[in-house]
Amino acid sequence: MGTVEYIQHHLTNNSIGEGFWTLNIDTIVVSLILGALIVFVSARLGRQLSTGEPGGFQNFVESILDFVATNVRDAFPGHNPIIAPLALTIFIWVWLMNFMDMIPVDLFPYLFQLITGDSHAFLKIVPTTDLNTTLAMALTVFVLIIFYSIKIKGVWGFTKMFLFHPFGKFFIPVNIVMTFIEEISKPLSLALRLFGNMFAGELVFLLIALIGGTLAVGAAALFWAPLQIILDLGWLIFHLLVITLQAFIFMVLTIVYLGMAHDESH
Amino acid sequence: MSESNKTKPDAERTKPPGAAANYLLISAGSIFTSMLIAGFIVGYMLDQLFDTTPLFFLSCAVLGFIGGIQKVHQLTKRLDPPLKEKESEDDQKS
Amino acid sequence: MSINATLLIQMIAFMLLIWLVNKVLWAPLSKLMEDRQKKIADGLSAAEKGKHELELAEQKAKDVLKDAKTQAQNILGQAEKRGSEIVEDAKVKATEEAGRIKASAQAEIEQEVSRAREGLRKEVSSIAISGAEKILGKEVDAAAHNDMLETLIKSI
Repeated sequence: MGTVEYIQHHLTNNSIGEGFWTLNIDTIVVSLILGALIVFVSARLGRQLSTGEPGGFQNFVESILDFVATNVRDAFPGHNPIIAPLALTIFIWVWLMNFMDMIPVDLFPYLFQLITGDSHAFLKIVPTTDLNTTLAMALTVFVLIIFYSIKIKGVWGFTKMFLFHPFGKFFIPVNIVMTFIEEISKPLSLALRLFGNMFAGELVFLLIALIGGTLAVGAAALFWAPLQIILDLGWLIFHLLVITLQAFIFMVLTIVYLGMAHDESH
Repeated sequence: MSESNKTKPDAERTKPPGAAANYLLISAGSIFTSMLIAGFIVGYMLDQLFDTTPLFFLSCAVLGFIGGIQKVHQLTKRLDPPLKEKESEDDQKS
Repeated sequence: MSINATLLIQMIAFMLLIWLVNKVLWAPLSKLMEDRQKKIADGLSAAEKGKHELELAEQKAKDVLKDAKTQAQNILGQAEKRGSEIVEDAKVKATEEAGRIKASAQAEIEQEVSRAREGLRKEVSSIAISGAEKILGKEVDAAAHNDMLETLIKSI
């Protein structure tokens, strides 16, 4: 298997269906499993909650909650009960999905190929390297932004924003197009940032994996394998920072955008 | 943090609320890119609507480019505070 | 890598997850944390209140002590005054008593003196008479010289 094929193979989703109605099975299954994990763990935690001295895990979850709540308080001017759970969901879910990047790149595809018996079966276990996932979340946030913009500013205020926003009242047609562009760019930038970072990270992992994998033949492996391990470890540590930062930024920007939607003067 | 919150209402309007909006700065590049892409998307949709293929596509891309520059400029403007604020801060320190 | 129907499924999954997270994790845990915060705040305010009460009680105790002290001082002062009064009284009485005793003693002495003088006079007169009898060699008519005797007695 050549280098290009190896990378392409790893970056292709296992999908069924044709055209638009394609379903990326791996993305959906992994993200649903992670979502179910969140719900399951929090349900288990919910059964042993206590107002007294919290145990280790409860402490951990509470610190995450506190962190999210602090960010919401800082960035969000109004009061809206949906913002905090939304931000919490984004943070935990995106982080967990990003964390799939930390699993050795060949492990799950290899296991999957063993199980299915098909040596060319596709599997991409990082849902956030699939643009569909990030765009889906960004679009959900986008729907919320539009909904709350109209709810808070009223239909007229919302229209006014479209008519007069960037360039004053003499460029109404330009303003309309411009505001459209601006609004669409919000979810797009959210989705593309996360997707781009995760995709690039995955790509680097794949390239590092190539060092000890396809490049090393015979005795050369003695030299390449330690290098791969060192590089992998370095990038793993750095990428752990990146995935946390990306999950955090996705969350904070969601809060900021929704805060802007709640800000009447904007 | 509280200092930046109590700026004039005029300046407040151009700023996204709160200190957390500073995180927008991290993604200034991606905002610019997505403005451009959004311009392409809107132009493409308008072209499909009116059947004027390269016209809106290109002009909206230009609009997106301009808007992107404007947005990034607006964001980076927050980095250097106006001179008056700086002076008053110095006054408070001394 | 193209956009496809996965998007829709992910959107639905995301919304569902938000709802579930709110229901299972956020709502109970944030309520719990709020409760705990309230509990802590209550405890703190109770402690503050207790402290305040303690302060009040201390103040009160101090006041009472101070009152008692002044009262004791008063009583002591009064007692002293009363004592000195009594002493003064006793002194006055003693002086009076002494004066009375002295006076009666004086009177007695005077009485004694006059009685002695009387006795002496009588003695003297009888002695004088007997002396005169011896000098004169004869009986002195007491009656005849009564006047003379009388003046003699008196001159002693």
